[in-house]
Amino acid sequence: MATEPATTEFTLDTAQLLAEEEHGRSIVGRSPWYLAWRRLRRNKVALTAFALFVLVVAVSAAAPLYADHVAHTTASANHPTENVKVGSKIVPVISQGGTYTDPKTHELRVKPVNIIGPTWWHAGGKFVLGADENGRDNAVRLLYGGRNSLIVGVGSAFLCTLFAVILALIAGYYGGVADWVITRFFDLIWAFPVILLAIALGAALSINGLHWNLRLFHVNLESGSLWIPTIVISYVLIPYIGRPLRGQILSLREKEFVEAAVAQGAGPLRIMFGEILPNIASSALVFFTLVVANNILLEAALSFLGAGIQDPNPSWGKLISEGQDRILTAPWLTITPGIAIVVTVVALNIFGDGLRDALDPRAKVRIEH
Amino acid sequence: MTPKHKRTWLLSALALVVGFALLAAACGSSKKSSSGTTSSTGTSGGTSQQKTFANFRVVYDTGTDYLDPGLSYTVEGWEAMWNVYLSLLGYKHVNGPDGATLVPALATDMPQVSSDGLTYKLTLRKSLKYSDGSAVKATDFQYAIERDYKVDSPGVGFFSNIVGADQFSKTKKGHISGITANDSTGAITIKLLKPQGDFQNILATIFAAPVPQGTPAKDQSTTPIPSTGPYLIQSYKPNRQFVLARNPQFKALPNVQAGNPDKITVSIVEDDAAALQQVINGQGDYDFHPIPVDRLANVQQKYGSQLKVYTPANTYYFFMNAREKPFDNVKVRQAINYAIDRNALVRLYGGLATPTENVLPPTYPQYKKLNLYPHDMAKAKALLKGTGATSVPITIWGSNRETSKKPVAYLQDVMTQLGFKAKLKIIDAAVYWTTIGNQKTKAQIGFADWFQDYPHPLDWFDVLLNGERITPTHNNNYSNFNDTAVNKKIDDLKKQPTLSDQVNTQWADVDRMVMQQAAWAPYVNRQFTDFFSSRIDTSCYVNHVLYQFDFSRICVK
Amino acid sequence: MLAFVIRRLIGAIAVLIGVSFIVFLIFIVVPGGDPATRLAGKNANDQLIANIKHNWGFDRPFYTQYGIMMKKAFTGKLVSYTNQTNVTTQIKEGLAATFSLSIGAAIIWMAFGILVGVISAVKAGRWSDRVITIVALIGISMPVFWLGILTRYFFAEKHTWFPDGEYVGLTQNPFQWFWHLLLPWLVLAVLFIGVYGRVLRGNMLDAINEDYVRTARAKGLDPRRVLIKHVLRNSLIPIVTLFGLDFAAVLGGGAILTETVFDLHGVGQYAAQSIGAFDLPPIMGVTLFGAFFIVLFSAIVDFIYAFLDPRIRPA
Repeated sequence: MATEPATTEFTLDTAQLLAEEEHGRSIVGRSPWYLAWRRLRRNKVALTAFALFVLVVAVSAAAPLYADHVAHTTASANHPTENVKVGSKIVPVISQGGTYTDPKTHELRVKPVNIIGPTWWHAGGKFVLGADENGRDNAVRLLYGGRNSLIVGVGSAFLCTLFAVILALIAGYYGGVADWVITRFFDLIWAFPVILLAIALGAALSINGLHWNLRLFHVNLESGSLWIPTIVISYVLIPYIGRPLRGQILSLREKEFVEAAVAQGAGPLRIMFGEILPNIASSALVFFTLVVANNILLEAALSFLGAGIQDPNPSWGKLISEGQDRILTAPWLTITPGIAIVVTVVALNIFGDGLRDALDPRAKVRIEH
Repeated sequence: MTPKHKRTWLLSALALVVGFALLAAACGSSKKSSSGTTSSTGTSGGTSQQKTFANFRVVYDTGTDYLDPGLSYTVEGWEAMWNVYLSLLGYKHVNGPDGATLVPALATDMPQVSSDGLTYKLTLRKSLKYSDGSAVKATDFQYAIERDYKVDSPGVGFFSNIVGADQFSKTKKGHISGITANDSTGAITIKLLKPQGDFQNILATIFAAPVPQGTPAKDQSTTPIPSTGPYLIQSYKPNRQFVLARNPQFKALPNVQAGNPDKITVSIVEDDAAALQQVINGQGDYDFHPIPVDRLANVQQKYGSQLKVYTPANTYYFFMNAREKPFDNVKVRQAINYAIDRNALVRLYGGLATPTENVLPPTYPQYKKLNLYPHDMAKAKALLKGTGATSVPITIWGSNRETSKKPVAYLQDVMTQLGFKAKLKIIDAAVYWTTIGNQKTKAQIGFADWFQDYPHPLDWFDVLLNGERITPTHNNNYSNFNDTAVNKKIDDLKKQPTLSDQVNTQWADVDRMVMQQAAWAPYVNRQFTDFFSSRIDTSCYVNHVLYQFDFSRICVK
Repeated sequence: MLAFVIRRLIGAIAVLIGVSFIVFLIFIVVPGGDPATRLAGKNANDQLIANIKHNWGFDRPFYTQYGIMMKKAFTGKLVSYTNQTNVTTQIKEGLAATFSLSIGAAIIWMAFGILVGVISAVKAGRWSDRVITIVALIGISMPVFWLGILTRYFFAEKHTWFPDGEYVGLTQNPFQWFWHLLLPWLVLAVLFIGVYGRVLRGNMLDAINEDYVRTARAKGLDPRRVLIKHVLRNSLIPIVTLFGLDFAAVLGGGAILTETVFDLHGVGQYAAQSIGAFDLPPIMGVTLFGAFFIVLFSAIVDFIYAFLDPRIRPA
């Protein structure tokens, strides 16, 4: 804003002339996505955050490799009676405990077990973060837990965005009764105590899975399936995305290019998906990123309350809940999965903000917790 | 967060009471009484010495279901009520196996049983009064049983052998024809359809405790029913607090003494760590919750004998459904028994458990230690060879409580090592038992545990392993174990009215027969803890074989 | 205005019916969830189960059962399947803890949220803004139960500076009430402080560039005055909306995690316990209770909004 424009009349034509004057080349038309990418490229913080997220994903995806080649175990292998060599010492994974009668007082006493703590690298990659009460390798479970948390977080965000976009398109394009029904549907979800419904649904489905066998439509999800928390979580944020998108579509509906398409005889599907969708895609993408962050938190909360990912699959939220019982002697069991969540969610939030600024600096896209 | 209940479904029933010259002597011998006064009250024999004190503050968990004797079916409910509602019979209020000894409580004597084992005759004590001052009548016993049916009590199954009970269950009109009572003489006669060796235990359950006629046939937890025992329920705020106070009408009975605390205030705290902290700080006197595993070493070392470790009668086992492949093959069931390392499972319970290969817990006089299946993976694999078992896909069932999740995760790992394709199915504890107890579920293998309803081998073998008692739904024989020889032996022993040494030996044989058939893979008997504040004198501590900790006997330093 | 009220009322009732029906369906469809078998206990027989089914009405068609349940819910006669305690009484017993927690936390998060938002807006672009922004972001990104467990561990268990959970009544002991609630308040507030701070910062930065602010500045008004009187006041309007809805959600059982972690015996924890026990009537009760607050507060918010910003008076 500091410098004054060289000419008093500044239009796209004069801009082109000016550019030619200054650089000896003309302005080339760029797609909005390219422009966004250019803006994003300059936002080092957002890029770093994205790199961090990719790193978390990569590390979690490598869980089987880590288990196999570094920790020499599997996600579900129990080692309660084994010993490991830590440095020069032989240490039991879980020491022998039990009850005995005190010879002096003749009272029953307990010898509590001692579970191996973090060995860092002194045991050649085994039990880097210690063991759990079943003698399973915590580091392995943390990685597998990350894998599951990310799958559920990303998967549910994808479903959520998909449903929200479709509902918003229908509501915004058709208006009238369709709009009224869909808006009321958003109200209904909005009014639901979110966590309550998700827990009720999660707990209910965790018993016998989800089985619908209609004529053409078969859904068979076993109770331990990751799909169950994914589906349960996906519905929760639909109104958060659906409402603002519907608003955008309502105004787009009045724009000339839509009218032009109508005049050319385009059908509703073509207009919705060919004309309107590209114009809301950038908002949807930003929402998607933020919903992933939010759903990772939601999944953790559900798993903590026992209604999310089911045993034997670990997840970050479940690991926190399991660690809680041993927090006094093994606080790292609770702390590490929490840190993993915070890092992932912070990275996604920063990247989401950066993406929003890059795609549409004026958009007011925001997600509540 | 799933609440960590200590011993949840103990099921069953019993009653109260107690005798105690022994105990009283123990209490009496303990030295100082700082906040308490030593006095001698009660009319019973004059030998009993009381160490009264003002208020015993209990920190309970959330397991209390009802404070109505007709409805409660949890350890918490019974532990609270066994000094409130007395039945005709009861148990000695003592530590150790002697606590299983049946004694008359509201009855004058033990019942006279006819030679065919079908008629039980008892007499109610004279001049007994409820806490509201009204007289206890012989017909109140009959009323209580009939009320159980009217409130749909979970205890009615215990009474179905009484003549006319099933008919009453359908109509709920008139009376149960098999029970007659005479208010003027106090005589009570009960007629049974078949001889039943544990019927005296049934008479001792809290479900059989007389209640005043006119007590409404619906839950009375918050409007407590007048009591017959040393305490009465003064108030109850569900999920928060209840208070027991001395029953002013209570006069000590030969087997039931007046209690030491004048008042017992029970506050309900969900969280184990918070409960422990309250007792350490002296805000509470008794922590019902199990001490969190990672505090155990510290608490034991720092507070010594304020911490009590005890073994209630329980067995934790894996059931193996004999109606489902591959567990229809005895070799496969034996292989699982060899494959599990019971010492490893003890470690999974943090050391608060002892390995077992028996059905009966070691607290039973009928217990004879079995060692049929020492841990041996090679032997397990050899047994499986040629059975084709490992090609059958396996689903292992467990509830979402910590005490169940850990052993089934271990079992999955062991079965994987044996070559099975085994996956876990963990479901909510609230619906676990009804799900695996439904034949439609076809649960192959999974977690199970049992805490006795009353100290009698029939509560184990007849309820859990008698093939004749398998049902399509609400089944308790999760293994669907049905062995003609075992069934016959259980039925024969059921006719024995008393547990003589010779009968006990035969029960030990049943245990062996069941385990040779590998009906279950039992693995541990768990231990639990009771923890007291520093002002409590734990030499007065009584842990009963069925009702566990006895509030009424405790005293202060 | 009357039309607006009536419309909101009808909408609210429709939403409550929808919410309750969905909850009801979830539990009716659950296999193994048959409450009769569970009420009958481990020692059940067929006759007992049949009696329970009949007496509790489980043998009636599901829509009749739904109707009965709604009738009971609105007459305060809903009773738990696990211990036959009255649901309304239990919710009332939990209100003191839930209200204490929500109101205290709300005061903290509003005060600090505004403080954080104003400071970072004023210092926009400087290092203090960056630090605050990052801290606020971390606050938003933390699982609240994790923060609760860790604070309990560090401040109440490892160092016993604070009481380890539990709720003490205000009338019982005001100091202990405050002392027991301090950690839960802070834990619950952290998330909202982050959210409110960020939203307020964004709104204020937008407002600073508005014409009316420039005009005010051009007139030579004290920049501080402009900030408070013009910028902050207008930027707070959306915060009010947010606050109404968040507060309603927290009151209506949304503090389920904080209450559970700190064992506060509030309505949220009651809900968590009931869900753990698969106990439909209390779940229904708490859900209706929560939905009621959300519906009520979103109506209130609309009124206040209209009052603060005449451009959007309800049509």
